[in-house]
Amino acid sequence: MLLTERCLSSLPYFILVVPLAAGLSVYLFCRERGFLRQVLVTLSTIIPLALVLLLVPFIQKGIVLTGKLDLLPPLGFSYRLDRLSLYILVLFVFFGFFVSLYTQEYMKNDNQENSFMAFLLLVLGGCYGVALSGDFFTFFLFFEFMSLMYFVLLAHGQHERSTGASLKFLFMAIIAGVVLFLALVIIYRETGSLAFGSSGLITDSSALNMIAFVGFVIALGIKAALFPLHLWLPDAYTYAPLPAAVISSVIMLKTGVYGLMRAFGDVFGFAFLKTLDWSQALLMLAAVTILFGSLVALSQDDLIRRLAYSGIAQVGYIILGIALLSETALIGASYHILAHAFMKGTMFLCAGSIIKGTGLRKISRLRGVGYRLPVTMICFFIASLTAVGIPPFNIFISKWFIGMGALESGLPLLVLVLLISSFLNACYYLPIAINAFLGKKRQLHHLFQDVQEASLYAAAGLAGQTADLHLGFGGGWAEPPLRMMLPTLVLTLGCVIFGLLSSNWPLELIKSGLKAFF
Amino acid sequence: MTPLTTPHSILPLVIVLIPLLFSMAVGYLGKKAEHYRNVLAVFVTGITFLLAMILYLKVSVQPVGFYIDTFLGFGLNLCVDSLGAFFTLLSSFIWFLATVFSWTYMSHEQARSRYYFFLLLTEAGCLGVFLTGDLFSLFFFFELMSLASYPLVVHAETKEAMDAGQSYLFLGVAGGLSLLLGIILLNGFLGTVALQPLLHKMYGLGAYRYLIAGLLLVGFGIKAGMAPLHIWLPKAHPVAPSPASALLSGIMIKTGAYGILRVAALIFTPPGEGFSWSFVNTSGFLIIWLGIVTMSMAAFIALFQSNIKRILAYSSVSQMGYMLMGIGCAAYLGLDGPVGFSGSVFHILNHAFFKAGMFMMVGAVYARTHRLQLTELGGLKEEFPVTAFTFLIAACGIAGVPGFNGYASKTLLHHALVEAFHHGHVSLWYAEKIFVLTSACTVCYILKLYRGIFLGKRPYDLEAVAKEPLSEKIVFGAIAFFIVCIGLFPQAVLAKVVLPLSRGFIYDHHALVHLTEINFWTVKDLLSIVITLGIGVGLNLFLSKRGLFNIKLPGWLSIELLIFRPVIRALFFAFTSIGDCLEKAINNLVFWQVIRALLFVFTATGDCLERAINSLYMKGPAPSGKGKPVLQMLFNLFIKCGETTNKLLDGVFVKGYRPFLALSKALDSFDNVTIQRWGGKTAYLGSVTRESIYSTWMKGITLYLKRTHSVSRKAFFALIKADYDTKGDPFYQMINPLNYNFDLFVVWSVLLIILILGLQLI
Repeated sequence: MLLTERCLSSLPYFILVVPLAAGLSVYLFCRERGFLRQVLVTLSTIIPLALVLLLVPFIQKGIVLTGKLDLLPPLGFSYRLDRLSLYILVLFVFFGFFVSLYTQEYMKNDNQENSFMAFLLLVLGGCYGVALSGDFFTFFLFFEFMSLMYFVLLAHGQHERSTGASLKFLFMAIIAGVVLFLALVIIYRETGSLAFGSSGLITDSSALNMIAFVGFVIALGIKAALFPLHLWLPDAYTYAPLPAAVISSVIMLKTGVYGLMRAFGDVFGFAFLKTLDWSQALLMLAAVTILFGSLVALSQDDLIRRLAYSGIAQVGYIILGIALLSETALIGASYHILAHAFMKGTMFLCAGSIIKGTGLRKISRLRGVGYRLPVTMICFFIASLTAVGIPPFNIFISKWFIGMGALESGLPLLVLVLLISSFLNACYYLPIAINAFLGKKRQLHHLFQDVQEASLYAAAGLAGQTADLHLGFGGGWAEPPLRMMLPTLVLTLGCVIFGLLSSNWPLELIKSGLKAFF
Repeated sequence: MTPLTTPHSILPLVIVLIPLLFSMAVGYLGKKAEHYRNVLAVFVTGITFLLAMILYLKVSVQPVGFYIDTFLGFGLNLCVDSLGAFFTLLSSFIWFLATVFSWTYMSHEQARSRYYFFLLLTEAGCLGVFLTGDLFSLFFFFELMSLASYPLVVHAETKEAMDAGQSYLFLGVAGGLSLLLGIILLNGFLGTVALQPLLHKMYGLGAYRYLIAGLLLVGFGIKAGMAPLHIWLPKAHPVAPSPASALLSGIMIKTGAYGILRVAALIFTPPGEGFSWSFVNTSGFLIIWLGIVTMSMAAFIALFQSNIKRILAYSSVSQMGYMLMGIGCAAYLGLDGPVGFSGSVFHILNHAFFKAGMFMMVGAVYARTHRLQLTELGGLKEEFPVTAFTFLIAACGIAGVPGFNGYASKTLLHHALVEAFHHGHVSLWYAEKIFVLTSACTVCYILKLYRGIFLGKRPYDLEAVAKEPLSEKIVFGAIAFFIVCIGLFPQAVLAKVVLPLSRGFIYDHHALVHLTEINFWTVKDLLSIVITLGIGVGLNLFLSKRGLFNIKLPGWLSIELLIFRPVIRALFFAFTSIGDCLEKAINNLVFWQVIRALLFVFTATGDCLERAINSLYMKGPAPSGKGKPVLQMLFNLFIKCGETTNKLLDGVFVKGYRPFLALSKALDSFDNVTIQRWGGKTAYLGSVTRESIYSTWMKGITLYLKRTHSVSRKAFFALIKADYDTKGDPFYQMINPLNYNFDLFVVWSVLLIILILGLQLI
């Protein structure tokens, strides 16, 4: 047993090193070699997946793997793999594999393909590092690394406003880093430790500790797009290449939420926070985030932008669940990490397929697109039902738990907030899916009008704008190739399957994993 | 209804799963062979009906159930009592008839496979609602039904259908969420959402009781078409294909009534006599009045409609009002409520037959004439003899003519209302009068419908009309048979079928026994129905003679135009404009404006500082002439110091220079005279020697450098091969540092060295 554990405890290093090394080699050697790049990217995402799956049975039994490298004394790098980190890590490596598979096909024949893939792998490596880290110092380093790499990823956008958007992200990420550093310094000075795994380092509510708390909320809230700090998100998603938005919404936003969970559970301790009223403001902000995101999403006509604002609202649910400080709500919040990743991942991948296949981006022009991409739009429809929170699908489970947690804390009004947001979700998602299939088909003269406009634009040399004028009903089959289709289908299946299986594995894992906090 | 106490039976799950799974098979088969698809659909609904019958027989002994406790982390509770089994039986039977009818009706419609797929999916959801033992599982199937029936409503895909579908969908979703909120609150406070009396656990909740009850009532009320939430119903039912309208009106809106029945008469009641019933009374009173308003308003509007399916849709709303009123009476009367309970359940049974039947019969006419306006139809009795006859029977049923089924249930409902008046509030006297008047209106509009379609003069452009096929005759005949059977033996149906359904409910035993001995054929009841019929027929004759049927009701009467549409439009406008403003303000404006402002502050501060310092130090004297800028002062001071020093030095050194001058002259003469004479030759020799040595040395050096340079150049290029281009040997291409992004390479290699050093330190 001892030997096994020693063998196992070296695996997390590989999980981390493989994507980083692969990212580096892709950047250096693969500019002209497409095949080598494919092999490297696929291997470097599938190896962590395999390693994590190897670790799952042991961690699930209750073994906690830890390890330390004295690289930057006195703190050093350390990792810690307990059930909660395993849950997050499984999600990250799973989505990392499928998203990179999709991205390879999506970015094919793009002139920035190579560096985009390289930085994608580096971002993934940073995210794995965040999930694996065993203390807040390591967390901080990987968090910063991930943000900087993601900034480069955003800068690959071709739109004229891409630079502004990525700079916006950079500013906010720097603010986040500085504030997080301040909080960590305070905690280290007060307690002499930053390690995870102790349920509560802080024991008194001095003003300094409160500053640290606010620092954590601001820094991690920027990453998780909490209401007044969400500014970077919509522009970044809209003007960057689509896979950057996918990776952020599925994986990177979750690092902020995960950090918040760790800060609440390990640094402050839920029992300690319950005796104070520090988290009330966060609760308010989360509620505002939910309503704000949903309301603004309603008024967007750009598909990606609508998804972006909806993502802000959805991450608001998670923060709400954490801020409620009860076990039920925290289970809901953790499960919502998975549910949202599957739901929003599906939607983004579908949006990518639509953009790739038809060139359409405006929702008002998506009428009838289901006849050209039937499978994709069915996936989108299932994902939108999931978003509304219809019973057999994932988000219903998380909403149920968060709602129950709100009631346990004596705040029934928050349940109302959740349900209003659900209704708004229905208002802005269902029409897209419905108009894709049903409704009066467009009149012939409209088609002619489009053709005229398109040829006008083409004549004026505005090739970029003609893409938006492709015909919804015209044109033929536009389904994407298999490597884009497969991830979409797998993620759609993920939206549905967990509620229907006889045992909901992730839910059980979180339930046992979160016991450590309470 | 708890899973522990009921015997295990997998039958409910099978009944739900059969249509659910076969819907996909039917949808798939539709692409291959249309005929087999129709056969399979009829077969599936038939099997479901048979299984429902087996379940009903089984449940009439004892409730059975099935429980999947891992479902969605909460558990799916498929425990069925006799009420649920009865509704399942009724629904599956009507569904079977409608599917048979679809065979001929749908042959002229588009997208048939989609229709059949969603038809069966909706059946699964609808049956699931009746087959569940707690509100959570009920909600799950309720949502499935709401969503799966949406494609049925918008089947035609015209603009009208899409509009109707929109209000259907969004009101459905809103209702579902209201229901969910109620369920979450109930579960959060009580820890259970089972279908059983729970009121005694809620005494401590205060105002939350009313909130939960209100939310559940709104959630189910939207589906049931309760005023003023009925607005989707008159739009959605007419645009759907006729079999789907039949199911929507006949069965699906009953899920709302079923839910209200469960909530008002079961969940919000205490488990016995020893508890306070005041809450039940209040809610019952409210529901009675909601029912009265619904029935009278809808019946009045139905009088002035000219679209035949719209008349039937308003009629459905009106009949739902009857059922709601019965449920209200059941709750209001408390332990003596069986009369209200049985009245509403009986009416649900009857309404399912006559309304589903009428929708299908009207659909049969529409399928051959493609007309829905009453003014464009008439005199179709020859082509549709069976349809006309069965329509007349169904009309007698809805009008409550003695001998047909509606008479029995309406009489029971009337009894319930009168009893409620005797027990309670004075205002119910008016309710009873409105009830009678509404029944008269029902007679009036149904007579108008029958006369308009089948009697009278046929329009000149309606010549060749196809005749009704055999399958439709059988379906309509079956419906008419049931209507007459129930109408002739109401006593037996009440005692054997309806009353046993109240087993899970809390009722006084004497009241139940009293109800089994009720006589439907008393003079009083017959007289009141004759009066009603008389008023109705008279009203019909009066209105048709005066031509008042065709007047258009003013727009301000429409609740939708008056309240819903402005509110929704205002809300939508508010939401989107708020969203837009927020987005623009926060996203585009604030961030960059803040950055710009900060930048401005920084640069302005810098500028000001610079100017201040400039004016302080650099520029000339201040205009006042009093103070000099510091730098100027320093400069002046410095210059003065220099001048003074100069003068001082002049005084000391210039005057003592004479001895130095003499020495200088001596040296000059030595240099210019002596050295020039003797040193010239020596210098010449030395320079020649130096020159020759230097040139030899330089030649050697040049030669050496030339040789070594060519050798080292050859060696270098042999090793590095830097003159290879990028298309050369791939190996050199890889190791050639010129092909790297060089700055990055340096950075990484430095990092790598640091990392290696660090690792060695460990």
